[in-house]
Amino acid sequence: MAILTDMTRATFACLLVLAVTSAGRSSETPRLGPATNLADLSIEQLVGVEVASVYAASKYEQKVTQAPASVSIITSDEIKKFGHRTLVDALRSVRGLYVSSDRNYSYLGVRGFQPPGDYNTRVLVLMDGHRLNDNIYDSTDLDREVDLDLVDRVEVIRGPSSSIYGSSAFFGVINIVTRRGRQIGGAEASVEAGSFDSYKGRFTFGDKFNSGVELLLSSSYYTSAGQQNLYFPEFDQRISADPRAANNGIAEDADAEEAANLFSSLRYQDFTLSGSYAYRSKHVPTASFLTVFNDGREETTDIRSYVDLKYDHGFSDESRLQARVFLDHYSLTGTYPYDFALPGDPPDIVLDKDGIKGDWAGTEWQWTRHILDRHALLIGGEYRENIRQYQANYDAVSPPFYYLKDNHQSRTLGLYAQGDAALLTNLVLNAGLRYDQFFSSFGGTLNPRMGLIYNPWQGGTFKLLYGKAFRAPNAYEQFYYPAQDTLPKLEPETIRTYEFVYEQYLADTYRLSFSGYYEDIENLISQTNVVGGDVVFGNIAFANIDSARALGGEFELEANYESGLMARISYALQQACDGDHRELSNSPRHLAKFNLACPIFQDNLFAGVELQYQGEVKTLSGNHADDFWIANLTLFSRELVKNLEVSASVYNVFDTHYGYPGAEDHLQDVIEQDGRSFRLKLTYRF
Amino acid sequence: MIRSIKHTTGVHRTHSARRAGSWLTWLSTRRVSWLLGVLLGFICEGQATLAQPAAPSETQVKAAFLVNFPKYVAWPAEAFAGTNSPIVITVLGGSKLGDELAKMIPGKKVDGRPLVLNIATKEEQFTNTCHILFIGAAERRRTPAILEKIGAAPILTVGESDDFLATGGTINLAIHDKKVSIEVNLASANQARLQISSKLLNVARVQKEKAR
Repeated sequence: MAILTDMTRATFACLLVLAVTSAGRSSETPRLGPATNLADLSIEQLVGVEVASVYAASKYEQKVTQAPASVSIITSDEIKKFGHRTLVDALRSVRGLYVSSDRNYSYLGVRGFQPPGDYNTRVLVLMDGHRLNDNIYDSTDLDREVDLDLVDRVEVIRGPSSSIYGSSAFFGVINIVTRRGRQIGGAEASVEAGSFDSYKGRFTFGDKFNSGVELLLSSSYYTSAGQQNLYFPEFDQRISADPRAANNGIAEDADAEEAANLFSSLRYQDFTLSGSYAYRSKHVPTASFLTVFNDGREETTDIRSYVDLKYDHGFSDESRLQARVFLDHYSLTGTYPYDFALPGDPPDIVLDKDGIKGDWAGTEWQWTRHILDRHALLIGGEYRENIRQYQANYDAVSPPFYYLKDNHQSRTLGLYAQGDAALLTNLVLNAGLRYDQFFSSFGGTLNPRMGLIYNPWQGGTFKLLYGKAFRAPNAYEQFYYPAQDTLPKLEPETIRTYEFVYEQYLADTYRLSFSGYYEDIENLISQTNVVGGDVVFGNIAFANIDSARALGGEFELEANYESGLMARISYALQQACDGDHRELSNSPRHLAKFNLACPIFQDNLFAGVELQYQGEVKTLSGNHADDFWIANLTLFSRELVKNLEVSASVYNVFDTHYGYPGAEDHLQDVIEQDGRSFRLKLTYRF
Repeated sequence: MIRSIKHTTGVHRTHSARRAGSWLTWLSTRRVSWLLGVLLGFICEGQATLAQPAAPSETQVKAAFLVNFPKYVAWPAEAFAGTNSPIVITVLGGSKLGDELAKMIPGKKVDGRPLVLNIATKEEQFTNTCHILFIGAAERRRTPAILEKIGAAPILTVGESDDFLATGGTINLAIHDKKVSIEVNLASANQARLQISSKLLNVARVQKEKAR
């Protein structure tokens, strides 16, 4: 009889959904009739006709099917409907990607690879083509550096792309395309309020003027008190023998976050001048790096800014020239409270600080030529000058006591070419090669890529891809630890990827995708111990000692209906192990994602449902962190009140308890994440 | 020291120890039946919505604009052989638009002139009579070359890409706020000796960009 009650439940749920959604429809204003009536309308009437939500399938399709890679795109529409707060939320919904966080930063895992403690060095993040990875860690902050409200779409381009982009395009490239001034068409003000006393305010101005000048100016501010009481059993002196354990394992008021963003872009004819400033400060409750627990002063502050001038011109012979000049800055201030007292003595807490500053400038040129409409050739070059790569570590006493004060300059040069040859009308061979020279570092590296793209029938694409990519040793690995000097020069990490992709579009509505890959990763840079190392920093140094292999397959099905209903389901199976065939830490075997955006009332009210599953992962101590499901629900409305967008979101609806593996710097084996949280957001256009 | 997330006696989050089981245990039949019902509901709703007449597509509205433009544009006398010569609309790189136009055109006349549709091939040389030339997004790369070839001929060039006007096109159909809007490059219209009615300019966003 249990099955009857189950069926009753299912039927009831189904009818409830239909009732809610059709209630909205019954009061709908009648739509226009068949197309033949449109031609009879006057011009004044035509400019007022609303068109069906354009999924931009053809633009997406061309971009996705022709690229020598497997591509996923997150649109701003989806960002709104699923209540994504940061780039991390958006990436979490993408097939085959997973995120981890240590309550300090967030880290992106691709194809089963995200060793705890590693920064985001193996994914290149671009903002309108501008490299966001800094010149000290070659990493990007995925939390608050990018203001998601200014994003038009996020393109995730999987696979090794060093043949075009050089270092860090190891597992893939994330290209963020910002909104244009004309898309704002005036001004926008937005406010958000959410759990843990989180608030965000934004003001954006953007428009295209009659003179042809297009301007976008935006500023936003975010503050969050964070979790007021975080419990870590490892620091609970009642059950833990660790000398730092205190306060019954509760870190009080140590999770606060603050961020400020400024972004502007100015476009005129072929030129685009853009500038960005991002500030982000996070208090760290985990007492990482052997700091004092529950002191409240452990925090990191990242500042990332740049100015970029781009020139983009199409010539009448179907060639195109893109040139760019840029100036970048990055700084990190880390504050770490240490207790220098001997056991038994009263505490002697000193604040240890990391002062990191990077400045760099460069230029990039790219010339593209289409030949006979079937072939294409691309030639480019990039030069980058690291004006400053400064790393310091000191005790914040008066005068400051320096353990490390290091500054370097360096330069890199990259030259690349890529060609597309149409062997048949539906078979394209894509081949690319890039040579990078890292002066005063490891020297040169050559990275090729090849792909066969075959379109046998309408809407179907087969891709066979091979690529080699590299990740150059960053300034931190090369210069931070004094013992590094005793070791041979660090070489770049390399990856060779073999990939197969099949994509099928059906009836402008469905998209199906299958892919399989094998990755061979060599020369991984890992921390190692040097015998007889430095007195202060001990024996820590880096060496190219590790390797890894990854094998996996992915499946995705997406449906886009004209009504605005969108459903997407994906599953990724990934197996990553080290050189000794042991399972890698923080590498889930299974990932599953489900997204559903459903119109409830015309084009004005939507429900967005997200379901994400992450399989269990190994932690650094050899234990396993449980697998988990996360569900997110968002109600998004626009134009119910004129010019107003309102959204209400619940994250982690079922209050799942889950955590991510801690790194070497953490006493915690698993760092538990937030439970259920809420957010209310209003955006007004005027 | 035991490090295990399976035993948490948290002061502020009390919960029973969870066993490291497979994801199947979370999907109890009760949860599954609710989820299935909800999913079924959404799928049914989606199908029902499919059956309803939808809002017109972007392509349909753009086609309607093209059919209407002759009412608001005046060509110089030499653009037509005789008083009843047809108005030729050439479409390049917009196959779906061509289909919609083919449905809309039959029987339409402006000032006694019938409308004629010409679907251009990639090898089109633009030597034949043409009054309105639509360059679709698929062919936008060739826009500078095509505009140069046309020169100052009295042809109304219509496009649907961001840089169409900047390259020297005359009218751009852009999407704003889910509606198709018109952007006009007056300098380009003047060079082609086309007169655009103020009625059209009133609903358009006018720009004075460079001519071809």
